[in-house]
Amino acid sequence: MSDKKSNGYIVQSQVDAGKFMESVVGRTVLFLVDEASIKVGEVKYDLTDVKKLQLKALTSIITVEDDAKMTLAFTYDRKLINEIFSGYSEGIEIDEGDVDLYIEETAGDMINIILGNVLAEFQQKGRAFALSTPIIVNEAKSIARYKNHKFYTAELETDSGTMSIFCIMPGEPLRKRLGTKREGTKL
Amino acid sequence: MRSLNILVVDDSQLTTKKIAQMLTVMGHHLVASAKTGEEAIKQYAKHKPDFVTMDITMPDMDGIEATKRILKENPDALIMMVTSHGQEAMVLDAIEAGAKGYLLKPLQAEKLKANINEIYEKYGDNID
Repeated sequence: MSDKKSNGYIVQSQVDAGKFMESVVGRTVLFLVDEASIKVGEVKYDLTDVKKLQLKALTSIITVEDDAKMTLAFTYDRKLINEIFSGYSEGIEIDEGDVDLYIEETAGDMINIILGNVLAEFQQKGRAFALSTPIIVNEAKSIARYKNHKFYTAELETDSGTMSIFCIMPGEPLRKRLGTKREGTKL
Repeated sequence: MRSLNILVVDDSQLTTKKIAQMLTVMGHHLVASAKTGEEAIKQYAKHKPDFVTMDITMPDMDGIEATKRILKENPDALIMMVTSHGQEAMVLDAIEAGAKGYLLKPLQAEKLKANINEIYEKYGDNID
């Protein structure tokens, strides 16, 4: 799948985005179980063009940069992110007044760890994807699709509520290295 | 191994607290923490810690650049990257910068302990 015209690879099919999303979902499921003892039930994928994204109570956003930017967002029901925080911070002393800050940090840590781990599966020797520091949005709102951008989504159901994972890719052919050298992602 | 004074560098306060808790259980001491690369350099100069855990992705200066700059002034500094980045190229960059080890998040106390012990045993001769 190498792109002979460049040093990298082109991702423009749903299959490649699907592989990436499956890997992100797989790591998310593991994180939820390992760090917060939360089991994921059904996972719904939507790998077609999504026109509008509905953000939940809290959202963490990160950009992955190669030659072009891809944006990933994890958005959570309030109860779910509170539960994740409780598990992730278990045993750590936290002042009552700092809880909201640390819930946001939990969301930031989670997307950073999961994306950092996932990108190692898609790496190409000698080059690394750059990850931004996470941005947190503390408000439920909707985002319309940018022109020429594609949204891919996965929704994870748990007993504590749902979270959605959004992958926003430029619609134009994107030279990057996803879709190759993927090693055993388990869902 | 004696108790070490450790500087923890991470832009997440929660992660810093988690590492600090693990270090305390291991018998080490969090001497200072920093949220940025620039702050890490200042805290290192101020406290001269025995060991540093260093995140990579941080605001302003990243952990790899901070590692280079700390080692330029303090060639014996023991710095271990603690990061979510598992990409081979990133690991190589860190090692080339002078990091003595690399630990992948999510954090696990046993791995943290094993890595600190291994690095200290291998490179800690310069520490009294």
